[in-house]
Amino acid sequence: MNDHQVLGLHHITAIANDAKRNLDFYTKVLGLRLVKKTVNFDDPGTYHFYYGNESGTPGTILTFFPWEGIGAGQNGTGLATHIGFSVAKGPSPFGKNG
Amino acid sequence: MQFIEPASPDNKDNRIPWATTDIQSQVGIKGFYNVTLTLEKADATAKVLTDILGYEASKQEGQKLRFIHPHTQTAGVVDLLEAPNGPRGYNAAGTNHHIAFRVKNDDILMEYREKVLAAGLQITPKIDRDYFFSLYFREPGGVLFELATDNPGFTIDEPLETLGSTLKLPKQYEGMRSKIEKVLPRL
Repeated sequence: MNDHQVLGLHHITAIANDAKRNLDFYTKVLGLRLVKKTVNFDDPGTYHFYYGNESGTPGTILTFFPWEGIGAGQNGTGLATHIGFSVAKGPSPFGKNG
Repeated sequence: MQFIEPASPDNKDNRIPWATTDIQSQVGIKGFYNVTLTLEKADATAKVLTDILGYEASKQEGQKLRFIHPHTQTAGVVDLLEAPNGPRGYNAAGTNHHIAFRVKNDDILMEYREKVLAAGLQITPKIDRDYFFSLYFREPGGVLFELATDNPGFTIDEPLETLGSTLKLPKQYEGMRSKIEKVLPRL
């Protein structure tokens, strides 16, 4: 492996609304590990949650700014609109698509 | 969101999922497989992926172009979906804010800064995000791209065993901890 190359994705950061709902969904329903609980650098009254795998490896990290009361956005051009997670072959607790 | 069983027999996704009381590690999420960017036009974004970031064009399925990075076994797939007449995205709750590409360290990060500048795009200076160093640039299709380093990583301020268990504050806010804890929503 050439060290000077890009090594795929490092993380993806998304915007959420309710912090507790966000935490419950990603840790309990999807079973990701909360690897860091911190705050937004520019807005320390808002959480910044980092979810990932067992060791918090880059390439597994999905992060959220849960801004309480923010309205819904809309997917469309100019955005990353879909995330695929890698899972083992065989029976899955998630079904095939969520 | 989609859950993908990587199909290729040589897939070596050895990343270890987290285990919870409801989801055992062997069936858990290993990490990212791919990300899809929706674009009015894909050309200029494709060029950033191939000419700057080192991705290789793979197959085309309808309006979707797949790019794969040859130097990683995991999280190395980017799909570009052309939607010439689609609505413009609006970034608020329920949408992604940016995607970050991984580099090993900050020396290599700065090599990519030069490559982005040489392509005529604007890019931020290096920013310390406590757990990695970052650069941000807007790719021509409108998606906010980041480059982020492996160093120093999430164990810089708490051990692996207890990652995420206590509130960590950027050092400039540590003196305001009690005030911040009062303002943050209940979990």
